[in-house]
Amino acid sequence: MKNHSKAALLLFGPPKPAWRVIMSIKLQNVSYIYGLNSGHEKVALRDINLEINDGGFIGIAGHTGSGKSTLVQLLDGLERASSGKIYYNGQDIYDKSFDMRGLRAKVGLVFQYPEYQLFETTVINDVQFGPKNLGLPLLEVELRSYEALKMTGIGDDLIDVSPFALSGGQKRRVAIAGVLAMKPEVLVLDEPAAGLDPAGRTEIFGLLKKLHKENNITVIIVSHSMEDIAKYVDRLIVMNNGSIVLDGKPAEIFQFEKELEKIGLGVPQAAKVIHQLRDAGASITGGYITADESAEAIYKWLKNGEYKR
Amino acid sequence: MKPFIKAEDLVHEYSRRDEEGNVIGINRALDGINIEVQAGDFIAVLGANGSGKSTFAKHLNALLVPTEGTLYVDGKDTSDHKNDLLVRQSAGMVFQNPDNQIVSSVVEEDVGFGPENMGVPSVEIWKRVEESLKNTGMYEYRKESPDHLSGGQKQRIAVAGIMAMKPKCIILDEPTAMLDPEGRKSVIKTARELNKKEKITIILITHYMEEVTIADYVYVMSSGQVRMEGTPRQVFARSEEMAKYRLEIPEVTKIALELNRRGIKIPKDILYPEELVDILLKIKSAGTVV
Repeated sequence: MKNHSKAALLLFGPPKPAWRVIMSIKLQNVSYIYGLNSGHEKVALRDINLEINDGGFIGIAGHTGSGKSTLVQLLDGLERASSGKIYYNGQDIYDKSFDMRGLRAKVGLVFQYPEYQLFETTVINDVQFGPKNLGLPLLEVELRSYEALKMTGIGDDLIDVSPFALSGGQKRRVAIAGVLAMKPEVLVLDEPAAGLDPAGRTEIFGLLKKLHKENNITVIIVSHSMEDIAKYVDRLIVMNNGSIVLDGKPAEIFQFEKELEKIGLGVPQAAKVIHQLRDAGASITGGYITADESAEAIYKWLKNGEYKR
Repeated sequence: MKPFIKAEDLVHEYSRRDEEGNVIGINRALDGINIEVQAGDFIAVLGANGSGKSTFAKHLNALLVPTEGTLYVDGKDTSDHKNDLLVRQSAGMVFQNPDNQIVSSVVEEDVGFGPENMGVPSVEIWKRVEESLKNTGMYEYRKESPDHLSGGQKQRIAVAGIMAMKPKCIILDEPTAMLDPEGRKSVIKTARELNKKEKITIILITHYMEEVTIADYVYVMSSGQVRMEGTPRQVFARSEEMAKYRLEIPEVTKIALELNRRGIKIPKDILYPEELVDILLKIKSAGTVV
């Protein structure tokens, strides 16, 4: 650790555990059309109504081209809806007086393969880039960056290292830290586990869960493999062809296995097994998103359950 | 029978260099690999990020040559640069990112790019393009621009492009990492059909366990070495070892193992939901659970 971070520590003390803000996003009849008036219009979002409230851990699932990435880009104002209204904490974000720059700091967007966007000479410099651009005083920048790296589990030994010398999983953590250093109220991640091995996927989702719990950040994960995210989120929004088709708890969503497969999404194998047993006449009760849950339900059924052929 | 691919104590070292080009460190990415693949096999190579599996893939295509040891592809020593073109013709490679391997603005021209570079006469090129597009189920898109296609479709175009070069073997290096479930399924299905119908040797490099169940034989790599090998069933039954190498077994296999742990007598090497359901229903009907 170099002196600058130590200075920040001396002045501000150890990183504070949490920042707490009440956040809400509301979309009203939002549509988005690519290439409007070009003769090649493509409707990416049609008449979306959605409310996301503070403290959620939310998954948005949909196959390629379902509109989920467009939706996310509307949330932090990168794209502007073709029609409809978006309210952030009750304020209309398309209102002339609305601080759009501020919104981009509050809604922290982590793109797919964010490690490709690392560019600085050291890890700490890279993380500082965002808060510096917010025009914050240097000490505040340093404190935030140091704190963000702590939160993502990047140790002191790595902060002065070149980001390109890190492993894939570490790079991704640094990239996430760069967004966290802006102190977002909501963290939106597009395919955060893409390209990582199974252990790496578990680690990154574990990290997001921890950030959510300990720092009360609202987390929105966008992914096409909802089998992956189902274990972690408490609300799952399923999109198809520019519309929201399902919205609920993962266990509720996975009841619709056939419908989900029709729109190019899968259900976890653990749920599939239970469904097939039920279709064959087994009266199994119980949740079934993880292998352990399913094994538990199957065990109980084998012991005492009904089976009508 | 002579193996199609034979790696003997294959070692690959990457050297790290400073700004002046002096070597400042050596990273042993492959550390004594011994693998034999017979023609017509469907082989899967599993491994965590950084396990060396992609480095191994690049050797199969002579993009890298051994630091130590030898690798024969189709009987040719890859360390001899005179063999480069021959090796690349018999073993074609499909990479992870579909957008990085498309060179043309029309699907059929993209597929024809490989054979054209090989100097294949144009009548023959068109015949091959048609054949490979039909084989990968992409014929109806032949006049389209690749950027209107989904990721899975683009990967199938990449596979078709390799097919048009008439290789004996296709190496797929994490071909589905960037695809959605549907795209993933279509690419794996294509690979499987090429293996079955056209007898093309397939080397699939991945860390999606569900994709590996269809392989004839699986190698698990970690820190540049082959740590486990066997049929998918043999490998997945060893879940603790898999976890040690940062991998995990399919959920169905996990359920079977957990039920076993609780004293239900079922095989530990189950790979498919249908299989598990069948066994469970039989047990229940027999009334042997107490």
